[in-house]
Amino acid sequence: MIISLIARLGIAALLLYAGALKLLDPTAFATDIANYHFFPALAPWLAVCLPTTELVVGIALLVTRNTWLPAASLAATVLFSTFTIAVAQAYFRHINVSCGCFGSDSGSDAISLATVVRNIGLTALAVFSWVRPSRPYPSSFH
Amino acid sequence: MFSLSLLWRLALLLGSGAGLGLLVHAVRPDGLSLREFSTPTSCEGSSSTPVEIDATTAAGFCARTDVLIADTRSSEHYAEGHIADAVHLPCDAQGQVASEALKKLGQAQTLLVYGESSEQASHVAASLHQRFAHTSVFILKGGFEAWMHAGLACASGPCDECQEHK
Repeated sequence: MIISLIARLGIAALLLYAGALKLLDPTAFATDIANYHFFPALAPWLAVCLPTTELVVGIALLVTRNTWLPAASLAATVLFSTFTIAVAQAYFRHINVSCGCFGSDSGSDAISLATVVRNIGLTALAVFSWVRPSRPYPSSFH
Repeated sequence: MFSLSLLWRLALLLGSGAGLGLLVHAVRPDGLSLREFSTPTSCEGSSSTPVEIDATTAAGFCARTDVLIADTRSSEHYAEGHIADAVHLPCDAQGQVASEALKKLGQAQTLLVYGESSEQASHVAASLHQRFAHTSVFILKGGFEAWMHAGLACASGPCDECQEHK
């Protein structure tokens, strides 16, 4: 269960970090989304809604327990699956676009196979924390 | 695994995140425009795919100084005849030939790409479309055959930049 706990805390930290950076500059994030050529009309709406959703899910992974914890892990799975599909379609369509995964901290490097693999790995971690839930925190944490 | 209560909680988490985002957007003075957003980066121009146009329409491009024409056919076919002033860029172009052709084509605001057929040109047109984001890329419908059939201006002779012609 310790692996599941580490996976959950890691995913939560990543979502909080990515959400906060994206929230700082929604215009830049909307541009990144539009450049994916994947429902570009939704770019401004996603740029407004996704960062706070990441923050809410990240916080939920940290603070919830019992019945809410699987829901938070499933929400993280949904988010990472969506990101993986977006990144993979851009990579396989040879669209030269910056990932935008961490807002202004994403750099200007184009999406590569490594980006796709990283996202698949994160999705797997989210799935793992959902299907093998840990207790909120071991007793030694309190 | 997917109980109704789990799905409700999932919807509530995702919905509250999205709702919070809209709330932040509403009170944010520097928020982006949701209805009139347009991308300021170089990828803006590449949101549409290359459009096919017929030979007569394409002939109208010849009078424009911002247009360049790319021929994607083989060196032999190019030497036998091509649209006047077309830059030779076969789909298997590599090295110096490709870089010289791309350098030249990159100066245009509009590109007309043709091959033996629309299908042959479409691959090169798509890659040019991605490479030159602010350039409008068109494909000659029916390829060089359609151009010839319409009796439009042609030129012959080898490609100056291509080593294989020398």
